[in-house]
Amino acid sequence: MLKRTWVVVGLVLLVLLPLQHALRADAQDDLTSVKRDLESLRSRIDTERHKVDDYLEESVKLRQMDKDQLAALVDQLCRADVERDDDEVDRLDKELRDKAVERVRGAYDKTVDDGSHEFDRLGDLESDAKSLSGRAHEFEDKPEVKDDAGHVREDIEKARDAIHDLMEKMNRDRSTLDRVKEGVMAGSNNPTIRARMEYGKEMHRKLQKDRDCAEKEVTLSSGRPDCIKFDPDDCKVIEFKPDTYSESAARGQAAGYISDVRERFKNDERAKHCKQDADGPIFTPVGETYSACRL
Amino acid sequence: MSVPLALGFALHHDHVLADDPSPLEALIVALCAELPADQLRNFFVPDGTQKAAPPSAFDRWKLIERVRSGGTWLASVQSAPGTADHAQIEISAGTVGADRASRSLTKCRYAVWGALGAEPLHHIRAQRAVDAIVAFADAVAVRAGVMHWATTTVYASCLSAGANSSQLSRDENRHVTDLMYWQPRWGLVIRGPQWGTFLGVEHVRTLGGIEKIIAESRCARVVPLASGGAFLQATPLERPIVEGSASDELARIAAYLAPVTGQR
Repeated sequence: MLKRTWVVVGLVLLVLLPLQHALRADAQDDLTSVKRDLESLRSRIDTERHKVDDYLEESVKLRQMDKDQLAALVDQLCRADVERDDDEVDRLDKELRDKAVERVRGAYDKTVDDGSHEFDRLGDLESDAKSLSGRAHEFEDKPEVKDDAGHVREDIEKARDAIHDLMEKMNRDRSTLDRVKEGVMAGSNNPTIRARMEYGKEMHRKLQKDRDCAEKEVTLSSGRPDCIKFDPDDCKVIEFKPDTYSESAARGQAAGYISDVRERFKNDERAKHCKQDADGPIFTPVGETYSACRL
Repeated sequence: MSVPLALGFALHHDHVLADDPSPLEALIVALCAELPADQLRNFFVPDGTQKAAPPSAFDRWKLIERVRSGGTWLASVQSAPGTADHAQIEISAGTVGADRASRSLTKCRYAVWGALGAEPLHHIRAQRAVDAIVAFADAVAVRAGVMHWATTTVYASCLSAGANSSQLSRDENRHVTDLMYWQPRWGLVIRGPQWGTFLGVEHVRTLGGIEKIIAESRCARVVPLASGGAFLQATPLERPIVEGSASDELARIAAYLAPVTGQR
């Protein structure tokens, strides 16, 4: 009887031992598969790290572009002689501004788009890392691979930390990227741009008042002279320009109005105070420059 | 010349530079070619109601193209804004097309004026500058014009353009205005006289012809022009007449030119 029992035990062992061995081998294989997926995950993180760096470089360039465009726009606005709303130069200024806004907006939209795609890829990566961590965790209950599985899971958690770091970098950039919208893209709502657009108009109004102009921006076929004065023996047509023009350039512009001004005011009572030439009142052209606005 | 002086010039003529800008181009080459191009600017006043754009980098080809367009009332080569007075140069030309109103204040359709400060004048040499201006006058068949010397470039420029400036004294501004009395008749009568005075063909005829002028005017130099006009230089270059100073030579020439001068 005892002998039969030992035979049975022997037979059971014969069946169970290979089975146990087989089960142990399956766990090792599955953990190896997790390790392979971890390597793949690390490789993808490296790829995304480069992409995040590229994106951040693009984002820095966008900020620089915004800064440069703003400086260029302000320079152009200050160089021009914007005297009043809706004149030719004002229209050109609006065009300049619109072009700058368009350029920056194009770059901004692309950067935001690239950033969104990068976020999506990091999100996918994090989701895969989380699932891999879960898979590794299951092996920590299995004594035969417990220690190994613990190490693998630690490595996965480190990889997840790396993904979170990249996401954090992206988030930090995003919050400052919004400020670009307040730069050139804000157009005339940007206080710097607004102020520069108004500067020339304000300077003209101020100088017209200071010089006590008798006529301001009267409409003639040759344009609208900034200022006409009828001082005794000293009648003049004054053109105000920012100092991005020379005084002689401003004089040249004023000279272009003289013929029309003489014609318009030759019978005007005020022109009788002017010094007279052989045919009528003498108006001398005068150019006056003021400090142009700066950045 | 002991004191560095600026030379101003103004010429009145009927030549349509929009159709043939070569005289202007030659003048710009003669006066500007040896100056640093980065210190020069193009400047244009468009015909019509538009304001002039800020001066741009000097580009002779672009300037000539703008002149050829006929839509530019004034084309100018001038120093960059902020250039010191003695270093300034300006050449401004009325260049509107023949089919447009010229806005002229004289009997001539167009005017060209300018000034050269002591520094550019030193580079170019005064004689070459004077000769270049005379050559231009000849090419456009000048009808009236002057050359004058002043102690500052801005004064020389204002004398040429008949303009005033806050940089000039009250007396200087008044003097400029006084000189404009016969402006509506320039062409019919001479402008001036000044240190350099241009006569149109009719003036030469009235004075009895070029030979008679050479013999009788007692000028330091008389240059007959192919157009039939002439250039009269009151004194040698080494002894210029500075604007505002008394000059026996100028008084004598004024008396001689009385038949072609406006009479009050």
